[in-house]
Amino acid sequence: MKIAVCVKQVPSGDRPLDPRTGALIRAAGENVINPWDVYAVSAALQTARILKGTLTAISMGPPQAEETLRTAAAMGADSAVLVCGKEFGGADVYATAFTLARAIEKLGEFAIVFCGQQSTDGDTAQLPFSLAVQLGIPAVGWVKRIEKVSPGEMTVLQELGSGTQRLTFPFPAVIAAGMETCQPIPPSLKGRLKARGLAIQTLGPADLPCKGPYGLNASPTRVVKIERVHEQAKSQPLFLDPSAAARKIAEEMGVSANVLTSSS
Amino acid sequence: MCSPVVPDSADSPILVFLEPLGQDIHPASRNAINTALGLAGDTKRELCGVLLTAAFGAGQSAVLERSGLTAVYVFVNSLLGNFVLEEHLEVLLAFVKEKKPGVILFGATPESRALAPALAARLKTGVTADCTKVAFREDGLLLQTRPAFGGDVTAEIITPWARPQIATLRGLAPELPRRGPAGSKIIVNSAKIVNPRAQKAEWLDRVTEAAENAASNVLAIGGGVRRQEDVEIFRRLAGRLKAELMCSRALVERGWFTRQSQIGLSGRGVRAEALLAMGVSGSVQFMAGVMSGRICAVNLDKDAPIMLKADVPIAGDLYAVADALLRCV
Repeated sequence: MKIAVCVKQVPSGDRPLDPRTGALIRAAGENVINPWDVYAVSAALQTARILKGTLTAISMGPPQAEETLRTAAAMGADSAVLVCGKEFGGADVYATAFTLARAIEKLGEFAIVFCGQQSTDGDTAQLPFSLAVQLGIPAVGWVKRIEKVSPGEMTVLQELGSGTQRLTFPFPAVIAAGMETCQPIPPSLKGRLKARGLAIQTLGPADLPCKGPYGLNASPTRVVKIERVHEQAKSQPLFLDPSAAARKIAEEMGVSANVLTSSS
Repeated sequence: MCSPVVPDSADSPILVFLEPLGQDIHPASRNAINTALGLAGDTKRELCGVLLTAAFGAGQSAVLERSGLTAVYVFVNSLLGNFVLEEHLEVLLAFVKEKKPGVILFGATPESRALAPALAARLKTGVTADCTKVAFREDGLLLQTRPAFGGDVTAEIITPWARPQIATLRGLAPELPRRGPAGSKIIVNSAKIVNPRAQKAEWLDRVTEAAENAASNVLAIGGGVRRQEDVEIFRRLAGRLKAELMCSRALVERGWFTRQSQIGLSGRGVRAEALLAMGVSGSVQFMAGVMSGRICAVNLDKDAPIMLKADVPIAGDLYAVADALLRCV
């Protein structure tokens, strides 16, 4: 049984902008696997072990996104595919999902495609749902736990706005994993060695079953302006000793406070 | 690919996707209605809503009749009581193809954030996620503004040729603006779901209350609380402060609280007189649940987002401050 996991390379840190210029930092060595994808890879590995399947990690990105695929391989993915070409650049969610869907179709039939629920840079949480529709298979999102895996179906808990839902569904499906889905599997030494020598398959536009358009030309949305936000603090932070902080809070909360002795 | 699947014109409708919450309408949907009312302003566009539900009650009907929307289309099917994406998508897609809206607005609940991109993919159009603002430009295109990169920048996005223009909106609204006597047409239909589901779905817990808390004081604790047994310290403190103890999403994920106690987009909204946030970072999702009230924050990280938004930001250790508070109040 073939299982896939989509991974993305993202700038490291929560706030990947140069504090002086506001420019995106994309320097070498400062990119990491999207933190959500660590959980997707881990959940995919556990599922692959149970089903005795193979796991293929797939990433769309520039040549340096190979590093992210090697991270997935070090965690245990059996093979890795980089979907790479300048035609794919500038893609929004729809166009990214379009490219990934064509690449996944090219690679063959997968029973399950895992994704991280969202990425730390785009932060839209939309890709897994768009990908599933463009693959023509069901999407199971907001997964917080995998309860049961059997050869034909899977049971998960989903954290939704109107409650926690238990869903049992047959394959194929796209699964979007949240950070609570499982314990992350750290890369092993053996895995790292294997990943270092792994031959990564590359797919360019000419390798895909559809001529395109891809990338920016296939994107229904356009960013017309990006503006740096200088959020003004409402008030300056107060550095108070605990008892002074406590009195201030008591006053704000409308609760009377005993005067403390200086020793406290 | 360059021709719109759903044609648009200057008077094509604005559609708001509405979600039920128990007997009420979800605060995220109410926020979307309020935004849509502002957006429709003096355009000639019809403003309508669509609600998919397992049962349509008098409570929902009463809210929607006074919503200010021209018409609300309600689709009822017992299968819609669970959230199986493909079933919701089938019903919504059929309606959208018939109604041909130029703009669709969704709240930012997990359900809507799944349904919007799935619908968009079927219509070969885009979605701008988690918008903080939408407005028509002079050329009639919808300008969609969203924060990006952890809120350090805002991006303005348009959907130039694909239709409809779809956005999900951040924020929860406590109530709808008063629109006078009942005026919205409510059209109830049974929803056709042709493809029988292969999935089995059941709720383990269900949020059914209108997600709002009007306690006068609220103590919210977050990821800064280190151990589950420490929650007792803050429970005691909440008692002394005459506050309801609530939490951020981090503590629900650790299993220490249920979602009924969670403030934020996937939890409840609070309208407190004073909110004391201890060890809460103050994500955009959390802040969406804070509807009013003065905010005091205690956080070790003086640069945490909550410290920018607090009226009284105190940089310090929440345990030391909690200890001092317990000795003086």
